[in-house]
Amino acid sequence: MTIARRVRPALIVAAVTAIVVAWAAAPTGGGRAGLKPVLIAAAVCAMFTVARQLAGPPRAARRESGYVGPGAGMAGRAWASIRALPWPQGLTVAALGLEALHSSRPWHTAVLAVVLLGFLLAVHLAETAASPSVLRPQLPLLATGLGLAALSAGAAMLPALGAGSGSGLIAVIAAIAAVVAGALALPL
Amino acid sequence: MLTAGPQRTVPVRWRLSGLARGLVTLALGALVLAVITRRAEFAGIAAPALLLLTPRHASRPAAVGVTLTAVAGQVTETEQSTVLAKISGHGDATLQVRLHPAAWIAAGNAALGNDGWYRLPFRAERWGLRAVGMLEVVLHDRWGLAEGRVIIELPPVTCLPLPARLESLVVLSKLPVRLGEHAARATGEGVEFAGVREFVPGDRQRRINWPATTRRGTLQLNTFAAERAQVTVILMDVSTDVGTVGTSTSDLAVRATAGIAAAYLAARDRVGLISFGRQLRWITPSPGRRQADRIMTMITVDYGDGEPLAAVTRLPSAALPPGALIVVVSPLLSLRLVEALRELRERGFATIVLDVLCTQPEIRTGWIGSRDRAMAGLARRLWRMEQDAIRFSLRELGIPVTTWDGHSSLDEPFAPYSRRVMVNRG
Repeated sequence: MTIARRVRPALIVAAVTAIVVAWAAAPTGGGRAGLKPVLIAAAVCAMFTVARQLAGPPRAARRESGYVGPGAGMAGRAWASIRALPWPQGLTVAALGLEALHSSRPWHTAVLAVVLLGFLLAVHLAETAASPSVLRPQLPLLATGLGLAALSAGAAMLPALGAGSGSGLIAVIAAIAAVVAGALALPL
Repeated sequence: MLTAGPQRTVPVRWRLSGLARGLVTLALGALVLAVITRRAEFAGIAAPALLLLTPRHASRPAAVGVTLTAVAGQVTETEQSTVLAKISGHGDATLQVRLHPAAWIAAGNAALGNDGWYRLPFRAERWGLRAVGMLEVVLHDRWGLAEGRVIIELPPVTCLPLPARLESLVVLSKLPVRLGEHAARATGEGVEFAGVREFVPGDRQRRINWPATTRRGTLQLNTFAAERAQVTVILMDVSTDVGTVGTSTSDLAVRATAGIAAAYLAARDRVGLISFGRQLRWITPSPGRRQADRIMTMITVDYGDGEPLAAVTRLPSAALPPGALIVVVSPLLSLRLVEALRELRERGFATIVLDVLCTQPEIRTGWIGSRDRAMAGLARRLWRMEQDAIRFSLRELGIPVTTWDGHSSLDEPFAPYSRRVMVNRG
């Protein structure tokens, strides 16, 4: 793969990654305790996500024979292990954690949903070397999902109905949705 | 050698794609946070991810058909070649075809042609029987949620060494009586003017030299040099391999051997090869294109079929014909070979050594003391002196030793011996 073909998608991923981290962390002063380590984790995940895109697919060793020093061998194995880790998923969790460490701000969270989806799709397009047109069949579902996210953000901005009753309902709905999400993933 | 094979069916292993894993993480993470923090907006984050994960009908073939072929079965170092691959039976799944190159193979980008064949360019960067690598086909379903993977090992390709350039040949003074292209000292039926002699009955009248006849008053005749073929035997020493891989002594030896063989065969000489490697193998001298193929195959691939190295002093006369020029391509690190060269010289063979040792032991830098470094420097100096002594002793015996750096043309090291004929006892 030529450098230009690898760098362009990696630059797009890097830009979206930076937006994800910046949006989830802002404002850094307004968060609860524990914001800093989560921010560091998010930055590390972002760095390795971009590095993996820049490195391209794994390659065979150049030398077929000859002694490889313990340092070089260990470095090679360490890089192979590092690149095998799910860094985009790590960044997703870290960004959600950063958002949760801030006080409730529903519209900010809804925008984060858009940015995170954009990030996951950008990584997918970069890894498959596909054009954005492959996402056309998914546009109606994406639009519906984002509409639901906006609705939930709007609902969260309404004054609470009563102490305990609303939050309990959310917990039940979320638990059911979690089971559904798990079930959707299982057949694959 | 790659050949156009029949279509084979390869099973596809399907799993969640990176996008699906990311969406599952996003949905579950958001829902867990919604429960823990009791904030409804997090449940909203999960909504688009869940909708995108909704399973829909998508064709996921259990197997695909793969047909492979190659543009060329043999390649030369740094020459570009192409593997062609055709994938069938993948339905509406999108394809991503990649070549994971093996060692010393540089792979280019796969491109889909109008004929439906994927072209995977590659370049072998070092001679030998090379594994090309693995062909990876990644399939994505229409929704990008499932990823199928097929991996096929490509057959090896024979990579011939890039021959070193050689234009001016070393020619012996006495050549065997075989029709060839080198002008010999003896007179014959060639085209190169040799001299004038007195006409004797039976001579061809068209060769009478009339100006000389007028001057001397008797019939004078033009004579021409005979054209003979030379027998050249190349002794390729690859028993030791030192230096950086790619420009090591073995690399230089095979490239020089390929160049020398090609140059002498182009001059219609008879060329033989003795390979002094893991074992002793040889090809008896012969002219022609087929001999060139035989020599290149022996240089490139070592099948391990041969005699023990000690047999180098007992080679049959078919392998080492009397009157042959022996070109030894060696780093002169094998004392057994050096002894064999001395013996060959004593038997009257005209021998010339092309020294391909262009490296020396490295002195480790870093965590060693100054005393150790001084000792290492001394050891290297002794090694260098020993090498000089070996070369000096060969020169004293009348075996010219000339050095090739691997970059320049072979004409440079052979220049002192190719300008005039090399005298042999014959």
